[in-house]
Amino acid sequence: MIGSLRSKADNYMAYLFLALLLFCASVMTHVFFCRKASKSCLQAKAFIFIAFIFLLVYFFGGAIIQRSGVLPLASVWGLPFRISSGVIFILLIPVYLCFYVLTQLTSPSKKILKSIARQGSVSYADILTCVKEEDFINTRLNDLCASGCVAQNNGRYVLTSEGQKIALTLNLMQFFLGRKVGG
Amino acid sequence: MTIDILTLGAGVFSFGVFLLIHLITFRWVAPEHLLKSLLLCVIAVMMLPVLLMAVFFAAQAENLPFSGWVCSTLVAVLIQGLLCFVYVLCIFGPYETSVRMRLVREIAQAGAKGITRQELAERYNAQTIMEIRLQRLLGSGDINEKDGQYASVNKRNLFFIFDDIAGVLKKWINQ
Repeated sequence: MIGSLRSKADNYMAYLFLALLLFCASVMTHVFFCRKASKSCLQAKAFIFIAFIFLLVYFFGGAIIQRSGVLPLASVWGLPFRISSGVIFILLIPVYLCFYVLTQLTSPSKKILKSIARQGSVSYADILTCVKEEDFINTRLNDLCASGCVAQNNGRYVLTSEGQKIALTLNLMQFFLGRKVGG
Repeated sequence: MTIDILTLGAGVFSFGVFLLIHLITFRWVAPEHLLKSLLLCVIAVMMLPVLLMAVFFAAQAENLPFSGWVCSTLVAVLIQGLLCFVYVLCIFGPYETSVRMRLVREIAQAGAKGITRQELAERYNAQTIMEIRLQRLLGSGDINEKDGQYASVNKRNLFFIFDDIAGVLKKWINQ
């Protein structure tokens, strides 16, 4: 009886295993792609494209499994967890991208924590020096200019239409969240 | 209704409840208590898919063995957890902590005439960045302050765990 239950449980999880396996494959493909591509810029769009291809493989693979009759049919939606596993795959894409971005960027909080962890105990002035060293404002401002969100006119920074859309989204978020400006 | 839709529904509904709680209550949460409150809220709401799936099981919404319901509950919790993670890291996090987003807002406030680097530095600078973060890190209990000296309290906090994962990824990429 236990064996029968385990076998059924394995069936329920088959799509989840397939989705996770294909997600791992998309991560590995992206890692190999990054080794060949330029190290100076983030290859986030490439990962989205790779993951989309593997997501298609997941849905086609799922359809083949369903048609082959290896697993018992449950409903018009297909076998158990077919959609849920697809959703998990999609949700894992931004999760991976968060970690991937961290491979090239340092957040101020991380910089502060690392500085404290390295030296054991630090003063306010030491932390300030450490934050100033990283030059967070200028690097981020240059990034915004390079990405086309901010333009520089006669030494003055103005938002482009792309930047204005982001500012509008932030204002909307502030309206819904009711929180003061972060940073 | 299939178990797939029930599971997905339980996960998404639970995230909806988290979002509602977050939108209503977090406007009053001070920045220094934000990290702890978020973590508590996510963990507390993770009980909801378990509860929902238990209700579906009791109502025998689908003819499944017990092991099937256990798997469904795990998948529902995973979906809810991932939705919360993506919301916190990709939507709420950048709004609350991103330097770039703050710069966009400062430049937007200046309007069509724009703002110089000097004016920008007067409004938002390394000291502002540091003070906001020290306040948050002290509130979350990751660091403490004694006689003007800051020290680590928690050696294995979320920042370091994320950093370790990113470190492994970086090693793979740079091999």
